[in-house]
Amino acid sequence: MGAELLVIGIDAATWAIIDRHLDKLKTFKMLKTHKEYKSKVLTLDQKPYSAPCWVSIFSGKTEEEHRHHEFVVDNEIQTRDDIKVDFIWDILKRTGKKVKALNVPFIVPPYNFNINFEAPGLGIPSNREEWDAEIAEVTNRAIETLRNENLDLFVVCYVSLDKLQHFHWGEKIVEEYYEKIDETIDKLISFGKKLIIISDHGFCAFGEAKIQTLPRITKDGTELKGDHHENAVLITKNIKTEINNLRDVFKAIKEVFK
Amino acid sequence: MNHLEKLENLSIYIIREAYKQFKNIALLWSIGKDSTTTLWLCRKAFYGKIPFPVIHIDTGFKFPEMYEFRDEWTKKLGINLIVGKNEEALNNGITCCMDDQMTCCKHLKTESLKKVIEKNKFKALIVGIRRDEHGVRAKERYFSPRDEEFRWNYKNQPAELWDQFKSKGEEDNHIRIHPLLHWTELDIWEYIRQENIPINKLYFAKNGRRYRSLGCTRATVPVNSDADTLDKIIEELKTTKTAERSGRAQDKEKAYIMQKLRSLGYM
Repeated sequence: MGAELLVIGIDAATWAIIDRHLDKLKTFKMLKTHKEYKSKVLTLDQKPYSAPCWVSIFSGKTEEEHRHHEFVVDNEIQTRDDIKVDFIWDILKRTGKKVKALNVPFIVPPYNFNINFEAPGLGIPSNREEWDAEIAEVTNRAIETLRNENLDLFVVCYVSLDKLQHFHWGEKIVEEYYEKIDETIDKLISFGKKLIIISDHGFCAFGEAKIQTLPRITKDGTELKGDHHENAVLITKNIKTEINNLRDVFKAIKEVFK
Repeated sequence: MNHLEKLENLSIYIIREAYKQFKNIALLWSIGKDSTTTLWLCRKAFYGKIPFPVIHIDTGFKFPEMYEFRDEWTKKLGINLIVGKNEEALNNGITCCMDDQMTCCKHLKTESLKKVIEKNKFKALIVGIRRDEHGVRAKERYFSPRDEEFRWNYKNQPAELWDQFKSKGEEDNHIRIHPLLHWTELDIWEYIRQENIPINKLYFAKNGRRYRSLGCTRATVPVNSDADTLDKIIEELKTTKTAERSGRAQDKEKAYIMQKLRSLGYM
């Protein structure tokens, strides 16, 4: 049971935090040091914005090609049907592969392929209760699936780090949730013969990134403490394709099932 | 001329204008109070006999009372009813409120309607929406062009000043006609009472709850209310502070998502 290839997406995970707290993040430390795994800083060549980045990761298209720029367009929340490209799961399913994707956050609520799941906080978890619920419920659903099924590809994503870093960058709580994600990865990685762990972008304090993607003060008056950074996280196991940008993840997955 | 007569006059004028311009036209009937009122106005506009088909888009997840009401009044009023149902999507496992919770609407409503329009080559649809119903509907026009994908470009709509309507569209455009745009929820109920329009029993309170807006069973919840007669509903609406579509899951979710995205700076 498990998956030939397991892809774990962690929205906004950044090496800046992981490297600084490697002594507490045992799984990340193992992934960085064990020879079975390869890890690198993946510097984005596109705007570090979650909606288009996740589509690029799983469609292999640039933002200009897939044209999914925002979660909301003209006051309408975008859905899967608004994005006119095939994702890797659509392509693999057509070739008879067994594929599932859980909580992929290119739309809100996040997208599920071939699996039912209702994301806590409708996929925009915004407080401790919802962050905990997301990590626990997504992990439970993923483990339940991977324990009972033999899949070719299983994709599972988490968005809590992104949301909490926006509000709490520089605070202790950020480390606390990296530790929770670290434990979560430890629970999942044994289910995949091959593995890709990817973040859609990194994170940093305001002004540190090349491009400021979000306003410091939002329209409802909330002050954001951090912003997206162009350096994303990439960790792989048994993946031959060289991954140098987000779209290469799609190519790497396709290559596995060639 | 009283308030309701003025509303009725404009609506009937729009319906007749629409029928004159687009012979291949149909009325969209959701079985709710607004579309049933529109249906009533269409009957009045053409002296008791609606000269075009009436479409009901059946998602397969409507309340049993809605199907009963539809069948009963289709027969009584001699309506030429077309039921659109996306059997293919239903057979493929698409159910109400699945996946991202908006996808089901696209498959079970929009795709069904597209098929009905394509099959019958309808150029225009009469739809009973109101401006006060929802923020985004305030931007609507009486004659509203949609492209071949049903997309609505609200930034590029004809002006409708001094009741001058652009009822002729471009060849590829599909036109939505909204004869109830200027009505409020209260106007609708007062008109229903005045005209004795048949209305679904789900709107009347039972055990302290009633439906204020009807949709699919899994996406609609009743509101707290003791209004079990038309008079009580009208009195309730004069004082209520609850939004009309507060029982619609999709609207609540959308508002929640929008607010969250705003707080994160994504909007």
